[in-house]
This record gives sequence, C-alpha cells and structure tokens, in this order.
Amino acid sequence: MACSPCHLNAATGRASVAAAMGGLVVWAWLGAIAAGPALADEIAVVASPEVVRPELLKVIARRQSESRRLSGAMRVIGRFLKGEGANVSDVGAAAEIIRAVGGQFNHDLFPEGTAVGVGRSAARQEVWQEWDIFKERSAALQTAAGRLVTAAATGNAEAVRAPIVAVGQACGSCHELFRRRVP
Amino acid sequence: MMNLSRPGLVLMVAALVAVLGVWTEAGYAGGRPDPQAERVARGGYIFEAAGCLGCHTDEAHGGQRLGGGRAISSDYGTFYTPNISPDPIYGIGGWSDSAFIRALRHGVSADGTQLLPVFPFTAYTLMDNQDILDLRAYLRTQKPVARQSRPHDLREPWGFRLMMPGWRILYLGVGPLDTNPLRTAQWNRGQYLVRALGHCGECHSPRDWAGAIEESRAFSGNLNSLNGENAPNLTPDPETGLGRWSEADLMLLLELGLRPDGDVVGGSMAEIVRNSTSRLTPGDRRAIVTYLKALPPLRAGPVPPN
Repeated sequence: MACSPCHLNAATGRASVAAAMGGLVVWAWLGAIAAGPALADEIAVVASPEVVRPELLKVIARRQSESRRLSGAMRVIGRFLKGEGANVSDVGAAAEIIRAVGGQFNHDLFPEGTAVGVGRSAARQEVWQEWDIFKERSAALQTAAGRLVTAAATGNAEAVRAPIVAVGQACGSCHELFRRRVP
Repeated sequence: MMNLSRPGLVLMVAALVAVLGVWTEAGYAGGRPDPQAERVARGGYIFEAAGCLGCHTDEAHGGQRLGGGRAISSDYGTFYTPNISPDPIYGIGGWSDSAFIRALRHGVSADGTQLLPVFPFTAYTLMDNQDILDLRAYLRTQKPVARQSRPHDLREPWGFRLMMPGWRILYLGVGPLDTNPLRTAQWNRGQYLVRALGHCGECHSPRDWAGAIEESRAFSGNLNSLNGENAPNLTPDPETGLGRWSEADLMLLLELGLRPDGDVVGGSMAEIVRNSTSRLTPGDRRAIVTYLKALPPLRAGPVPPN
C-alpha cells in the first residue's frame, strides 16, 4: 500500500469482513493508548505571585466590571428583541453605554502582563499579539454602537434591528479571537 | 389523426415559434429560473447550514477559502483539515459526484482513504442525496486553491485509519435520515438541521473511548471537546442544560450569539454563529429551537462558570 502518515490506501469503500476484523484487532491495542489526557490549546499558566503587580490585578478587576456593564446593556437589548419590556429608548441608553465602554479598549484597560493566568483574567495573549486586530474590532464595536444610538433616537423599532445585529457581531468577533476559550 | 388545413398548420407553427421565442428569451434574460444556478444557490445554503467553511479554511493564518490546513487539536493528536476547493490536483475538483456522496455518506475518500470521524461524516451521512449534490454543485463554483493538504499529526498515525472499517460497522448509522411521521414538519426540519447538517452533537455530546458519540447521552455536552473547549449541555435539563432558556432566548443565541445574561458567546460557537446559524432563515432557526426543546432532558456534570 502507498502510505504516508495521513493516507493509507488500504481499504476499499465497502468494508470487507477481513478488513473489519483487522481493524478491530488494531483497535483493541489502540484503546489503551487512545484514552489519554486532554489537549487544551491554552492551559492557564499561573504566574508566580511576586511577578503580578497589584495594580495589574486592579486593572483586571476594572476591566471585568466594564465588561459587566457591556453585558448588562446587551441584556437590555435582548429584552427588547424578545419583547420583554424594554423599549427603543432603553436600547438607545444601552447603546450609549456600549459605545462608551468600547472606547476604553486601549492599553489603559488592557496593559501588557494582564493575560490569562494573571488574576482572573480571561484575555488571551492574542490581544497583545494581534493588537491591531484587537483595536480594529473594538473600533467596529464603537461604530456599530454609534449607529445604534442614532437609530434608536428615531424611535423606530424596525430601524434598530440592523445596528443591533452589527453590535452583536462586533461582540462575537472579539470574543471569538480574544477571550479565553477554556473555562 | 386530425386533419389540419393549411392555414391551421401555419397558425400552429407560428404559435410554436412564438412560444419557443418567449421561452428562450425568458430563459436567457433570467426571467425563467436557471436550474443550475438554483442548485448552486441551494448548495450555498447547505454549505452554510453544514458549517463547511470554518474547518476547511485556515482563517487564523490567512489561508485561502476552502484551502484547508486549519489545525484542530484533540485527544488523538492534531488534525489538519484538507483542501476541499475544486482544484483538480490538491482539492476535490477531480472527484466524481458519486465519490463525493460516498465520502459524506460512508466516510471513505475518492482514493479509498478511510476518513477519520473528526470529519463529521457520522452526521453528514444523514443528508438527503439532493442536498449532497447541491452542495457539490456549489463547491464546484468556488475558487480552486493550489495548496497541498497537510498530513495529520496523530499519536497513532497508522492505527486510527486501519481501525476505521470496524469502527464504521459499529458506529456509523448510514443515512439518509428518516422523517418521523409522528412529529411535526418543523420538528423534522429541526432534526435534520441539528443532526445532519449542523452536526451540533459532534461537539455537544460526550464520546466513548473509541471516539464515538455516546448516543444515549447525545447533546448532553462535552467538557473536553475539540480544542479543549467546553461544549455545554443542549438538552432541556433545567439545572445543567437549556431548560430555563425560553425559545426566544435560543433564537437570539443562534442569530446573534447573545445569551440571556447579556454575554455574547466566544470561542468556536462565535464562529458557528458567524458562519452558520446567523445565516439560516428565521424559519430554520425556529426549527432548530423546536427540536432542541423537544430533546429528552439529560443531566450532565456542572457547567463551569464562563
């Protein structure tokens, strides 16, 4: 058979009984090996306490309280979309908060040395490795929130739909790349 | 046979010419739907619902669309997704339609290579033939990428493929998916979207020692899914699953990634929302919610805080 580690041209489309038996034998010895430890793409490395400066821990705490303001605002928007009591002007107020928090995504709130492993940080190293993308995406959040502020000011419930989607996408695009994946 | 007078015959021919003229003109002017274009459009929708783009594009490293090469880490080692662009040498441009169907239905590549279940053929096997062929028609219209697929980097490079024939006999329930006549059309559509196209259970189900989904605990979550992520319990268990989520909550998650607590999902699910669930029709999202809400509630271990 012509083999590379990836391509074994050993079997035909329909599994013959012989191939199946062969497979099962190999499978048996593989079983023990296969049940191994998990591979996580990021395992929190806890920095030794003397390295972590207390002011960085304070920044992380402030960052997370700002994040909670964001999610609080998004919760209002969610209630509006679900018809659970929030109206268009509530959406406008929420958008103002989102725009304001989005404007703080800079080195003051994300100083070097505050990645996953430091305190309760959920910010992946990629924030600093891909700082330009991080800034681009936080700018996109501000822009989208600004449009939502404008749309909400018209009082038109239909007009806010598209900017809400844009805000949600901006949140997701940042979380996808920059927030810790392993709980 | 009917006798036709000369003027009658002339009239018939004239009518035929007129009908043909209208037909061809409309056909070329786009007034009449072009069946091939319709197939490609339907295939594009299947492509999004089946979430092909994310795995088969190495977006993080600027890889070309469908050129493959994205790394997926697992207990078994690191997989590198293959090139599925229509390039005849490096992609799947040279595959016949039947080879394409076989890959999705049976997990065997055009050259006979045993595909590994990191490619979710255990879900795609449930697809309708027509959907597979429409997907194929769409893939043919994509840009070829001349990039060789990278071999996987597995802990047991030889064994995994050798065991696949036996594995498939034990674990592959060959499709297509049957319609359940006792359920509504919406539930059946949801089942098809969740189980066949969306392959949600691939991440959101625990797996046994052979890497197969534990069917009895399907959709009850997996704390150590691909890339080490936590894929939560999707069943309506009120404590550990989605039992306290309303249908509207689930709709917002699928459309925007927005959770009831105001957080927006990150990680792999953000990508799924971006490439797949947000692009579905609202009716299809509704069908998914209907199906998930009707799953038997299963308890799972405590979900760690986000």
